[in-house]
Amino acid sequence: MGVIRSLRSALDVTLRRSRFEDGISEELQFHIDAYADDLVQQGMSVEDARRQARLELGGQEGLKEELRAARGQRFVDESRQDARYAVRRLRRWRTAAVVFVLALGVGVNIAVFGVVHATLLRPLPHRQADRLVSISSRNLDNGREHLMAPLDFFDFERRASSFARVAAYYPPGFTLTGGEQAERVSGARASSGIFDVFGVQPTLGRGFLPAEDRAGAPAVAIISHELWMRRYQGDPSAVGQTILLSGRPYTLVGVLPEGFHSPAMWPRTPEVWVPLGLDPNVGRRDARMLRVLGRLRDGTTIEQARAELDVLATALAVEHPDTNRATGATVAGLLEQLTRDARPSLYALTAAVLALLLVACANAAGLLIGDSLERRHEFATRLALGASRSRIVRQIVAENALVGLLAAGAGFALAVWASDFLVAAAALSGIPRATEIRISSTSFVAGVLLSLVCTTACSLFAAYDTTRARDLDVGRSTRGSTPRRTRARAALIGVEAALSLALLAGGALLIRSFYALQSTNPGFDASRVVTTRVSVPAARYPAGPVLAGLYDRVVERVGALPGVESASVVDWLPVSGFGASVSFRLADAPGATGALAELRVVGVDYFRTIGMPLIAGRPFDRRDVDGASPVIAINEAFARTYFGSQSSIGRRVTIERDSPMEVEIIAVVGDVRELALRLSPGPGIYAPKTQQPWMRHETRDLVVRSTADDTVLAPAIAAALREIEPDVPRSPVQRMDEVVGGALARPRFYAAAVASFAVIAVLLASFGVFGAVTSAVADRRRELGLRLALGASPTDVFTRAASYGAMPTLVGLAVGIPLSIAAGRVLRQQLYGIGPADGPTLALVVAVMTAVTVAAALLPAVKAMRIDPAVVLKHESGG
Amino acid sequence: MGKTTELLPGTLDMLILKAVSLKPLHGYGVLLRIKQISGNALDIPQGSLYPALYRLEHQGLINAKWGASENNRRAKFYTLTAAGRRRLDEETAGWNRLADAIGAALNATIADTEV
Repeated sequence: MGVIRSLRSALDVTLRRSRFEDGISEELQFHIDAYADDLVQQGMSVEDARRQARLELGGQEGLKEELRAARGQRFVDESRQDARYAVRRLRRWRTAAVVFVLALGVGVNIAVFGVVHATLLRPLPHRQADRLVSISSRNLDNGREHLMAPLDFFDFERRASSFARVAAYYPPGFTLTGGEQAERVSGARASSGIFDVFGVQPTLGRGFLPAEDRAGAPAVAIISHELWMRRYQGDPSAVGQTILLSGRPYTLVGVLPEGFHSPAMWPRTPEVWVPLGLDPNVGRRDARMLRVLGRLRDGTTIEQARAELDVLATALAVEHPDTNRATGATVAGLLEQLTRDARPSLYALTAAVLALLLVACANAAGLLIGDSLERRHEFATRLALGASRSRIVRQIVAENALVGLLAAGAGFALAVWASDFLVAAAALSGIPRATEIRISSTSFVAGVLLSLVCTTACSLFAAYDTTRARDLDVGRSTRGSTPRRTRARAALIGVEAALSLALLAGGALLIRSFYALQSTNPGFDASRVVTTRVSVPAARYPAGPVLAGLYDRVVERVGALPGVESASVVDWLPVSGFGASVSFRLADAPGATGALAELRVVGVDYFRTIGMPLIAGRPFDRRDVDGASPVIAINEAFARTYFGSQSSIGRRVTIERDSPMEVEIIAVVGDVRELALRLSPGPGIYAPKTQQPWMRHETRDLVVRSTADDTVLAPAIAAALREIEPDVPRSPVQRMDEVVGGALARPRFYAAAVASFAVIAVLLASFGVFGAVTSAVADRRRELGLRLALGASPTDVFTRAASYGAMPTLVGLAVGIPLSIAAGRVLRQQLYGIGPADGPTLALVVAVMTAVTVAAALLPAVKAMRIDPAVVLKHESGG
Repeated sequence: MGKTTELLPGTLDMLILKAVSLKPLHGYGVLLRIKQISGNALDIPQGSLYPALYRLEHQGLINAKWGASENNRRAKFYTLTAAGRRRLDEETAGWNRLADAIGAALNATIADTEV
């Protein structure tokens, strides 16, 4: 008997299923009638004969099942039946609730997985991206990594054998002129290996030549496909033409492939590339300015490369002890290095959504158990009629597989909907590769699997619970309570409470950190200050007096605008995340070496304009011109650290610049969080851009304090700039408090994300408590009614009913407290101004959870109180 | 009612095949025919008759067709297929061999064993 035959028979039977089913009934009925007739003829009464005939044939349900099985129809038939059951069940609210709850859990997981996948997991968009590494110099004294000096780079490039290619670049922007509109474009000066490292070649023209790394090589440029299309409409003859970058002519020699970009070139992949053009014989080894990338040679590991660079750096330290004494080098996978800052936050976020998923699963399992509780009678009856136990378990799992698929679909829709917000928020908060975030097919598959695993786990839990209840007795057990089942639900409620508490604690810590950060005084008065960037062609305005003169004219013109109180310039805005440090020693302490201070180069009137308090001395003014005695201002942290209680005005400091220069301290100003809001200020030096060598600094950020409305002020400033220099590209005028607010975007994102997950979890947990108490009360009506009848007060009954939900919650909260502290530890790096185990925060979230639980148990417990003993007892004794 | 014997396992299928080999029968008819041809000696448990019929039909040893019964009711009639007839012959031969052997064994006398 072949397989095909069996299948055909089964198929045949399935297709004519109802006829087959009718046939069975008719055939058996015929048998009973015929037999009964014979019995009657033998002298039995009609009634007895019929009973006898039925009895001898046996239980018809079991027999029919056997007949179907004999015809090989069973499996197909059962699958159809399961599907029908599943569809029928979908109409029930409980199933809808399970779908909703799981969709929520799966949806946020898909969305967050999308972020984690795009950021941490997906390879960088380069050929053999796992071979790409980032190489940095490292200060061996404090372990901090920093950019590399060109001379060090040239040495490493020549000596290191671990790499197929290394390349260095630094990212100056360019002003592109020559068209009708001057345009600010992102740019990079890069060494010739850069495209080999990324594994791309120009589609048109050529890449850079090694000779072009050195100063004096011809000025050539390579542009992006996008710029080529925009400026040259994709004309191939553009190669060879001259392009004006910041006022200087370059010969266009190549165009890169369409869509080439690298997350390594943060924040934007350059549109214009020009050769590094550095003279290896000029410059100092502490002029750290280059970002260095490498492609590992095949077969070389990162560890080997790191070991080799250690050796090379040690050799350089011996050869150049004055500059490289404490300079090491380190190698890290490029992806790992790019995502290093975001990684802990994203892991914390992942932990949060997984906790939320567990809460959702516990909730769904609770719902399914409640469901099986209601269907106990159905299962008991079917078991009694001959259905096997495995049959019922299979049915429950089959029903819930459908639920799982629906939940996956709904969760996916939720994730797609949420990902728009997520991408925007992630981009705003500076998460690397944010633009690459999308709900990919990988996320989809992961989501479906996750959903199916969850529903299968939940339904097995429920099925196990249902069929193990061997007190499934048709007559008796439809109302009686089974302690084991109650324990299962209590455990689920406990899990939900514990995890929700931990999530809530994490959310609360992040929110408090955010507000602590927001209320942190940055050290200056950002209100009524606007800022914009002034970029001018470098060829027409070489660094030094000419450029400084331009800034003077800009400040003068803008300062004269109506409503403007003062205007000035600075090299890096406060809280911008950027800055430079300078090494110095105290002039009267000759032994001390190499202390570092944050450096800001500022214009006259800067302190007043940005709103920094002057603690002592005088601000920079017209006296501090080049040639006059060189001066600096220091911040309070500097004064405190190096002069203690003594006055610092008039003290002298030697600054290590191209050559050591001695400067006089003329002012002490308040501490400003120059680098980041969350970093408390260290020693800082402010130098006047009116003196050398600071005059050569680009002080492109214009700051303006005014009483005028910024909607009026912004166009006035733009017009003033254009009057002075028509080739100044448009740059937005920003309010300074927006700049400060931008620094809060990332903590706000994480706090908002974790807090909303926590709120969802708490709602789910309270929903779970509500469901458990409701069904416990329904389950124990008889017991509660009896208690009332025997004289228990309604308050006793209320307490008893509420305790069905409250007790497991309390246990869960007790477990949740150490879990919350653990959650705080996970979040440690994101916390600001608050410890991971903050007592008041914990007390607050425990109180919130308790209140929510009590509220959730209230309604069903009140219902329990109103049970009418007479009605319950009468009803129960009947059935 | 006369004395009845429990059916040996595996023999029900054979008896059904034999019963329907004589003429098409409905289920109840199969039951009666087996009783009749065994001289009321064999007791068929009614609950196992129909599963056996369905199994044999599924194996292609018998065919089922709806027809009219003696008193003109719709009933399902079973007939032997060619495959069923082959199976019946095999089983009958096998059974006879086995019955002879067992019979011989059980009727053995001391003399026989000492040969």
